[in-house]
Amino acid sequence: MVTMQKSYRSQEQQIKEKNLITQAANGNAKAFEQLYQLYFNRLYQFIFQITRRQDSIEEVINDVMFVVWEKAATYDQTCRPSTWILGIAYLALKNVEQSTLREDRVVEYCDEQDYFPNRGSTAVSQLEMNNWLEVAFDRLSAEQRAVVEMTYYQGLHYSEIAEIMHCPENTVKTRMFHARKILAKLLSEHPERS
Amino acid sequence: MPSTHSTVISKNEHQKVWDLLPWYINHSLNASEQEIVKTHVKTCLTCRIELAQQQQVFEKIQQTDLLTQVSQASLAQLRKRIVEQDRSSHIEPYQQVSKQPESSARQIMDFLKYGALAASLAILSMPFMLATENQGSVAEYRTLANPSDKMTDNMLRVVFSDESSTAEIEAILSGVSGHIVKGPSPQGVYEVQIENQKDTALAKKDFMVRDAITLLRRNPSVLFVDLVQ
Ligand SMILES: [Zn+2]
Repeated sequence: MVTMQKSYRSQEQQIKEKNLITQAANGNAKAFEQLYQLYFNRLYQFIFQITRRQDSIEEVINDVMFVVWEKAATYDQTCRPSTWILGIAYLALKNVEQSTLREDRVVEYCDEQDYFPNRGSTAVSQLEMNNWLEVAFDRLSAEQRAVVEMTYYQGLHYSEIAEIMHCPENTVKTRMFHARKILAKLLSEHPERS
Repeated sequence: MPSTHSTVISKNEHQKVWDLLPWYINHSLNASEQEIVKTHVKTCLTCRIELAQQQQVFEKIQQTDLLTQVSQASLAQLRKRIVEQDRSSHIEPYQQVSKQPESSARQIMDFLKYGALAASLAILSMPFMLATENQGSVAEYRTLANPSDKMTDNMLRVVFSDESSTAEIEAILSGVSGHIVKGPSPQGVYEVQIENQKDTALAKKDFMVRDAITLLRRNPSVLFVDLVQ
């Protein structure tokens, strides 16, 4: 049975986060710190999964949260706090990693086989090290990773992802469609025994 | 609607449901979408298999949380160290001037880096929810934003929103004891000096400059503020 380990989506959580942003907008540093703690993991995961780089994640988080602190008063409460904050983060990544976050239009319409240009022994032994997901993520484009991450980790609805990525909802579904194929394929070849 | 099970599943419905499965798994679908999926998977084996597989992916991704918990702990440590170091510097016997008491807010501001990215983000984050269009200006702001950890001077670079009148700009600046020294440049950059009196203690100046930056950054008419290196 599905059990969300996180309460990201609960109404209660959202109200709490909105309150924290409002308090931060009024200069309440304690509230901001709480928000920081609430979002650290989410941002860490989000930034890592999209960039696939460990270095400077914490710097980017602080840059993002700096904007949140500075611009808390401009948050208009209509979208979820997570859509606002992850939107800032996505923009930051796009800004910083323009070369990495290139358009993956070409990749999306290629045959699935093209995702594995060099499926050699290295990849297989890596998979056997029980980190198939890491390997799988490396096979995805940055934008496909972003969609998977926002769906399976951040728990966002596809419409929210579309808002964050500034793209049509169908594009989100298409990116997910191709990502799922890859993930499922690797999963079936290397079933998890945890 | 007849209560009997439909034996023919439309291809459209299958495709629609198949696309929605990830969001069924993460519980983000609205009630009607959820109902469509729930009903469909009862009779569609393909979707049920896919659902089970994606469920595994979902669970695997959720597990990766452990890794970042560690990072958070180390960050908390770092933070503690910064605060402690700061506190201990107050009782240094040979310190020439005693620092102003640090507010919690200031500690955060110190903690968060005034980096180039932060500056360009501050610009970007505002039009983000409307529609981003001023990507071109980012580079300009970037070159302006010199990362500065130490407040050594009292000269600031400030950019105001286009709507700000001269009178408004002057009012904003006088609120932080600042006056225009130079500008605006073609990019709209003002060089602003924060009250400079020779007898003001160094630490006091430092405090005033930091305060001015904080206040200006919180002002909606101010697009950009940073120290002149
Ligand atoms: Zn189906």
